[in-house]
Amino acid sequence: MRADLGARGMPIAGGTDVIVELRAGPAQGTTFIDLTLIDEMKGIREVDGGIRVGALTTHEEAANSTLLLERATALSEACSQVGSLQIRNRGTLGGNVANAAPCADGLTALVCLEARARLVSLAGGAREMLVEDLIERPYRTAMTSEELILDFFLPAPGEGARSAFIKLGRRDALAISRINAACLIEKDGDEVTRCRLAVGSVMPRTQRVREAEEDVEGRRVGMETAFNAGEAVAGRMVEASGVRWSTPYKEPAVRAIVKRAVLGAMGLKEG
Amino acid sequence: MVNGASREARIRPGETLLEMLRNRLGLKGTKCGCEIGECGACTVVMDGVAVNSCMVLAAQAEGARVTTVEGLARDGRLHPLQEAFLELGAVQCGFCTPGMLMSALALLEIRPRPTRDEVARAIAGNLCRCTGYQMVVDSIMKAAEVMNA
Repeated sequence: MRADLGARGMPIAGGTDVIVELRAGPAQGTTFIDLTLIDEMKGIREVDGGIRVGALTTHEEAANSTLLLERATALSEACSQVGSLQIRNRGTLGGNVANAAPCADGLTALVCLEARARLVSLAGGAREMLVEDLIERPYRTAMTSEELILDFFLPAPGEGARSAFIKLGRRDALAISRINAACLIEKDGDEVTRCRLAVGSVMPRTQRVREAEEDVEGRRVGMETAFNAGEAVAGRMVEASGVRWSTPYKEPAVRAIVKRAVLGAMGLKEG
Repeated sequence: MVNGASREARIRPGETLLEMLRNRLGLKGTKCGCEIGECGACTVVMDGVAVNSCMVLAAQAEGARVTTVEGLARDGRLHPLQEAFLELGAVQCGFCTPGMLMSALALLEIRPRPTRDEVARAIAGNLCRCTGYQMVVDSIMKAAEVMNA
């Protein structure tokens, strides 16, 4: 059906991005394909090796999920800070990723947690890819016009792993992220054994910052390591995007937000 | 179902729930503010949760249970939320009020005894230019008290 409708068939789930974007342009003659009735895209459940999160999971459902809160905290925290309750009750994770806004919150958490998206094609067939690889650039994913996201697989991290998400917006609610960061830490006693660190609205696209991750791994859990991670990400940002009008603001802000995300994933608090 | 009654309307494919409620069903209580989900003036309760009706396609509301501000009063008697809003000065220009009431209704349905913090978070998606919000929070707390008495 989607193939028949061609370019005019617009998939819609929660509509919180689609309808807003349509207002900016001509909406005449748009045929919508309502995805919200597709049960296969719903639900959050534990599976072998991790957790499956349906693409139609709303931000509020993800925020309230005990399973996610305990085992994928960064995702639960990210979703709880999106927009407003009204938006979270409708907007979906699948939509958040497919829209690929640079400031997307759920997206940063999914990238940090090394989530894999399962894509199904209306022309037949399916494929799976890392959410991080799915994002080509702001507002552009690697999905073809015939593909839909079915669900996300979050691989189970090691025992005792912890993740955190920090968002910086212009205000505390109904705010788009100026910068966001998600971090996952696994440790062995005092030492960080594994670190995953992703940022949004910092690098040219939402991605992990591997140099910072490598910098953190093998170091001692604590403020100094978290601080260094912030420095590393800020440095990478300037390397990647050059010095811009926003740099004097973003550089110290990125340092602080990344530091807080790393501290959160370490189970520590600032100050 | 809108406010407990089965309603039908012919709509255009791109029509929103907000447009349908106001223009087809004549329910003007729900307000049109920003139409991009940033003000909450269009908030209704749909299948138990607060949503911005400006961003729900009317077609997506098929089969859903929708409550608007018109659904609060029963047999000419105001809902405790409405009473409290009036009593405690939470209504000035009144434009945000229907949306506030709906967000409050949705909250009290799942959280009959909320804290002030929970109330504030529940109405975080409803902007008000007049009251400074305190009276709105007071009213919702008062209504909760009355409803639990």
